[in-house]
Amino acid sequence: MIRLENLSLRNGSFELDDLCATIPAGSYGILMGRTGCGKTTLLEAICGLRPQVIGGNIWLNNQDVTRLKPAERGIGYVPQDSALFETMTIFENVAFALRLRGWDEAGIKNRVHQLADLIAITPLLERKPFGLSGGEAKRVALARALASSPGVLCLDEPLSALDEETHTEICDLLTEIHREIDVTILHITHSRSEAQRLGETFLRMEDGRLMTDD
Amino acid sequence: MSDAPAPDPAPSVFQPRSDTAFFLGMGSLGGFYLFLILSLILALVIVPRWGKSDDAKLQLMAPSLKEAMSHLEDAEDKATGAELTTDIKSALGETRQLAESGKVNKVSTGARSLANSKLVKLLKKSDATGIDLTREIDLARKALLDAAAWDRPSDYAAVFNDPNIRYSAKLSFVSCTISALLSLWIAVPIGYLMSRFEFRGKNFVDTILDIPIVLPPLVIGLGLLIVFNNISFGTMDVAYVDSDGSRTVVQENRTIERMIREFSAWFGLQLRVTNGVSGVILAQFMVACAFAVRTMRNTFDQISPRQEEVAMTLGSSRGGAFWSIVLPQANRGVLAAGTLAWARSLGEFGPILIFCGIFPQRTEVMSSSVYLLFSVGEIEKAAVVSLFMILLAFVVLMLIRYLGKSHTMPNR
Repeated sequence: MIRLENLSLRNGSFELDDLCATIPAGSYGILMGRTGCGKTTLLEAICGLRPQVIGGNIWLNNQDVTRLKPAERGIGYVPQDSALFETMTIFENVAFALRLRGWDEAGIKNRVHQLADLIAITPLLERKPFGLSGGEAKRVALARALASSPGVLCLDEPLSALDEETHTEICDLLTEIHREIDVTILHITHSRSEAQRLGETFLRMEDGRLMTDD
Repeated sequence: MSDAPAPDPAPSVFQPRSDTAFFLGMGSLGGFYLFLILSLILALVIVPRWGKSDDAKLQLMAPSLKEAMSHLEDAEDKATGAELTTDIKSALGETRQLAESGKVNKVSTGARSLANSKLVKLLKKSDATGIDLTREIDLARKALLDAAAWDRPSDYAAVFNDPNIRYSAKLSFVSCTISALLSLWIAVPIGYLMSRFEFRGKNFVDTILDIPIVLPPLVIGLGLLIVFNNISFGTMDVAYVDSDGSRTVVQENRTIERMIREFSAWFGLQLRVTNGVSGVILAQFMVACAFAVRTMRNTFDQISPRQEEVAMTLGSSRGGAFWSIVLPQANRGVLAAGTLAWARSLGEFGPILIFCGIFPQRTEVMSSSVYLLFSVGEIEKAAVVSLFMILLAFVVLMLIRYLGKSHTMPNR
């Protein structure tokens, strides 16, 4: 569950005021809006990153996380550019969150291979991110975000800048993830067809206001 | 009659301009600078004298010895007193023996002792007898010393056997390495903070960090000297032990330098900053660190903060993200900053001169050695030390470049 209560944000000179929205637990939420309207700022605020919360609250899975560090929020975040850890292998990328949580080596291996099977990145595990295609990088970023079973998954335009075939593949993958894993998803996009294909709860951002569509 | 438009020019006629002139221009400008650097190094190679073989030395000595003999013969002609003549004759005989001996070592020591003791005594004797042989004997002495002067080691041997210069080479290497490591230790965190965080007065801090880059290094030395020695916190009693064992107690200003000595004395140490090795390192560090900070900041600016942010959402603290994500990516920048700091430290001279002076076997670094040798006219030896500095810098820079290549981009 993601709930925003009268949330006001500031990111540099950019401000968003009085945002209210709810995405029910386990739902696939879609956030739409024009480029530059503040979608990414809102997503980053939910993740606890740069934007400054100047009013209101953010609730994730029945917990007020407004003042919590990103590490304490239990989220998975897939940024637009994937931002894979360049100096680590794909395996280490996916295992990152598990190592921080002190999992033992066998458990980590198990979990990484399980995710790699689901997301179809098993052949990549020993490689480093340099030279991966956009679609492969996106898959790895998804696996990395899902590794520690977060309650909320934040996807920042996961399907942009992909060729048509890969687009379809990742779309199918997201559907599958939504079906297989119990996770609330917030997916930013400006493509209506994407929204219709994947979404269950629809949010639209317009002129600094957040509206819930049906 | 017809208004037919002019036909389009045939597309195949167009020829883009040749790039030859562009590359020639670039190449000649770059080549000119390269040529300047190489000629500089070449000059340093040419100037120092290599050692000569014994035969060559003897050949060079022969004319001077012959000249000495002719002057002694002149003196013999002039001298009339029987006693004086025998003395001159024996000196002449000795010189002849030297010329025929064929041993470089023997010639040089013999000629020197002849010129410096026997002929001086002879001159005194001649003065006593009232015969003026000053001119002849002086010329003979000069010729003998000239002959002896051909027997000298090469400038390379002279420099490498000089314990002061050996010490300065060691000190340079050690102090540069320490100040480069210290610079990195400071520059990595400052660079990261300045690159990632916005705060009030950031521009002010940025400008202050640039001051050591803009300031003449000499001024930094002066500043250090004043901080450590001219600012005092009250007075204190200092005991001096004279050579005869008596103690004199003098009241002196309690400067920072004094306090450091006092403090280190508790641990049985005699730490000194001004005029000491730690001062050399501090002076080098002050300048080098500013360059390292600049380099590290640029490095962190070029690493997108996105990866750290993802790491933090995955459960990492900011510190953890720094160690596991940012620093491994910044390793080339760290190497570059370390290299720059090391190289700056090797060339540092002004602040060391002012803050620590040039005390042989204590604060003399290689750049000070060059200055010392140059100031007493030993240009050739100064060139040898400079060459050695170039070699040292070249080896270290190449090594770091090699390490940087082989360890930073394993998968690229």
